[in-house]
Amino acid sequence: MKADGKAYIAIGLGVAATVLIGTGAIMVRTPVTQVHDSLQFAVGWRFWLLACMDVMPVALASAILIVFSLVLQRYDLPKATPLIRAVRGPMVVVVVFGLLSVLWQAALAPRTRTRIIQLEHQSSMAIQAWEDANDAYKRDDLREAREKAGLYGAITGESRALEEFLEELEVREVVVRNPREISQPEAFLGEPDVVEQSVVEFIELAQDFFDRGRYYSAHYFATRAVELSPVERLDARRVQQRAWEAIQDEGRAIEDSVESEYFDAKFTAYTAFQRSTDSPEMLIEAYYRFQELAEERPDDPDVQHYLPEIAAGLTGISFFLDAARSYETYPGVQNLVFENEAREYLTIDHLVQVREGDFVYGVEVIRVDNDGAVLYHLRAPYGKFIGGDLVLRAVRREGTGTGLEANLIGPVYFSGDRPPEMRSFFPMRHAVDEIVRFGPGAQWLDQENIAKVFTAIPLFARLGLPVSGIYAQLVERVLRGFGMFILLFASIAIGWRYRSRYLGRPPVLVMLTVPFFPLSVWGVAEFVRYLSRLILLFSFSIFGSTTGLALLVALPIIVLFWVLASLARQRTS
Amino acid sequence: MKRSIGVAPRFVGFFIAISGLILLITGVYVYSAGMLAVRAGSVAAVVSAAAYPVALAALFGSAVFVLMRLALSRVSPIIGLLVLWVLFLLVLFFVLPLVRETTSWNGEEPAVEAEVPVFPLQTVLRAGDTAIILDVQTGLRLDGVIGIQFAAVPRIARYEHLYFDPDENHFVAADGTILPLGTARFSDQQSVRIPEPAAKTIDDLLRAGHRIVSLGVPWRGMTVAGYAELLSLSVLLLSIWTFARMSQWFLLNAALTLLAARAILWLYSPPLIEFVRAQLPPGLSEYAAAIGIAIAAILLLVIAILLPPLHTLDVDYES
Repeated sequence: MKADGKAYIAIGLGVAATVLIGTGAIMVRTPVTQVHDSLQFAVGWRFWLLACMDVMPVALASAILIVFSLVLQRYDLPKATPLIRAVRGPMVVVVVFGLLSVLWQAALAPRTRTRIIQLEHQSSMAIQAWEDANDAYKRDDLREAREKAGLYGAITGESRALEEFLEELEVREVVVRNPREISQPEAFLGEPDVVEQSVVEFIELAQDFFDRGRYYSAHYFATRAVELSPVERLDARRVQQRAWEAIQDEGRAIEDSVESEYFDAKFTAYTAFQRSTDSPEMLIEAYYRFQELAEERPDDPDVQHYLPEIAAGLTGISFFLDAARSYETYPGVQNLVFENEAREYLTIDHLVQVREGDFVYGVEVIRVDNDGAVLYHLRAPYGKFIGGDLVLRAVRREGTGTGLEANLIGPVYFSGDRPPEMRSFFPMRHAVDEIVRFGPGAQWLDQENIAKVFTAIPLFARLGLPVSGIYAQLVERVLRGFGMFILLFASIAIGWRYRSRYLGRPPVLVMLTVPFFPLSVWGVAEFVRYLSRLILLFSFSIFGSTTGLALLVALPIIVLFWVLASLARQRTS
Repeated sequence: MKRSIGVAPRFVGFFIAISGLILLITGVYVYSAGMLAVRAGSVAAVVSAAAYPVALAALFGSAVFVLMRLALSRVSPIIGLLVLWVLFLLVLFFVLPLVRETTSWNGEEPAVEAEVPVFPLQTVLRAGDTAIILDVQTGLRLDGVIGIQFAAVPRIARYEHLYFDPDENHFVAADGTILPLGTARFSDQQSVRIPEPAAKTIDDLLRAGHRIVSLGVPWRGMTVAGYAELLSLSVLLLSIWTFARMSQWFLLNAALTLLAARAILWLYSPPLIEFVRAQLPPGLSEYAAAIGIAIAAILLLVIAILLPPLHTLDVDYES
């Protein structure tokens, strides 16, 4: 067999060893036991790929080293020729493997790891949805059961168990179906969606409501028109004024004490709502006031209008406790630490991202001044990212009727304090996704492609995390990816340089030593990588990121050229 | 002849290069890992303290590389080996004692034992479920510390100062509160920690260095047993040659040569010397190490003589 053939055999052997050892590693470690059955394969083969790619450099290098030093004979090759020319084809394959390794480390491996995390997340969501569906079924909440079963089916696909569950659910729905229509709260008087209306339309609406004797609504829309208009609108002011006077006149005209009491309550609720633009606390007050009115007179069109609107507004400054609690057991990220403002540090026990928003559980904040004195230290059981803020005040959907404070679940201050309007609000310097990515620590870096790792340097600094973690990740990626070229070319050069002089088959004793070579290659490769890492990290810490990055690029290239020069010097005899 | 004598500059080159490289790595390691020994105080002092073991390591390393290269040579190795032996003697009898005299190694292990990680200030340093943020570090004492433990309530606590205990790998507050790190390490430490096999090699090297130092300085009344031990050690280093040309597969030979050098470091240990001493009559017990080493070296060289001469192999040796 000619040299090319033997070299290809070396590469083939390396690939075969990669597959064998990778499979063996997966079978020994079995990392996919926690995943739902339907996702086992999708997660399993990705773990297998990761294991194989970990093994590949050493397996290939060992195979090349052994074949070039022991199997390849001088009569396989043309005389007095540079070795590179004699095995040109296999060299190209080696370059391809090197490029594959670079691509793998730069982008494919992080993507694979990310996909595994996503699949594991989907798996836990599916398991949770299935449990929720069964629980809902047991307590006859068939709508919830169908919804959760649908979610489960969307993740895991069709299955016999799901089909049976849906069949049972259908039977149960027929049995318990109530023909009476559940009375839905009437939409706001069938009015069009007013959100997008222009100022003029608001004024027209206000006038229309005024003409129909709906003074609260007339006042509300006139006020909106005044707020929205960039110029002073006297017509809007006029309607606003007249509506307000009409409300007060209406109150004075009521002689019935019950009616009068109801009017006062509604007036107070509405006034609270009006004042909520200046004080968000008043919106919560208004919410509970209107809730009480709704209990008394659910068909009052003003109450029907304002309650949903205030509830919607409430979600801009707070969140409902039951919503936060309903997602508490959902999978998310745990134990986050980061710096927000200068010297303000946050810890979050658990962060869940769902369609309804980004909820956090167990939030603690501390801020110290330049002398190290604590400015404030607090803990809140629940929080939600709203807009650019972390809001730590949850409100009960159903008021307890024992005062506003009893309906609020907010932070407890261990020491220090903040201004009243800021006690439950923390403007965030970072996007939630950034916090999710790096709050749990630098370990998530290996799920980011190399460009994102590189661009995360300023983000890390802003989050108060040690940038050395990013440098370590960059160094590791370059050494593992680009190092493949060096390892494979060095294997060819060293293998040929220290080749066997046996003319036939080597003695059995010599052959018995062959299996130990991969172990030696692994040890040497790891040690060289360790030393390279040491020097590169040192250069980052001493000379800073620019010089460090320059060295990170230059050092492997210099070593590669040195190895290639050594390879180019190898000649056939 | 010319090529045989050429081993001398090659050996010197390797010796200087390996010494420089290991010293550089030692300095880098000490700095990167933040292991500024309390007693050594600075990187330069630590490097000075490491110079003797580094020179010893360079002696072994150069011997291995020159012998591996000599085995690939077409020429008869006799003269080359003799030149090399003279160089070994020079290093053992003059260079090493000179390094010992001019640097600060006191026969103890260098600063690696007394680890004092240098923590970056006002940065979230995380190891497992524990994190700290500190304002000032003075040795093992950290001032103005925010300590975070996800297993505690509240999670965050402010400490005037904490002490880092590297042996237990935890922080201790003045009131006795402990912030454990378990087996976790800060990421800065993890990436530069010496791998276990290398750490064992360093241990054996230090032990061998300690043994050689204990023999005394040749020009200051070294005992005859000391001279004999250094002499036999030089022959043992030379006997690595046997492995460099053990088979006709030179890659295997290279691996065996490295293993042999490592084995010498491992075997050159008090238990083995005591074992040899127990086998000798009382009058010779002082020479136990020298005799043991000499016997091993001569045996290996005899094997080398029995192996087929290099020039009889059907080879295409490099020029």
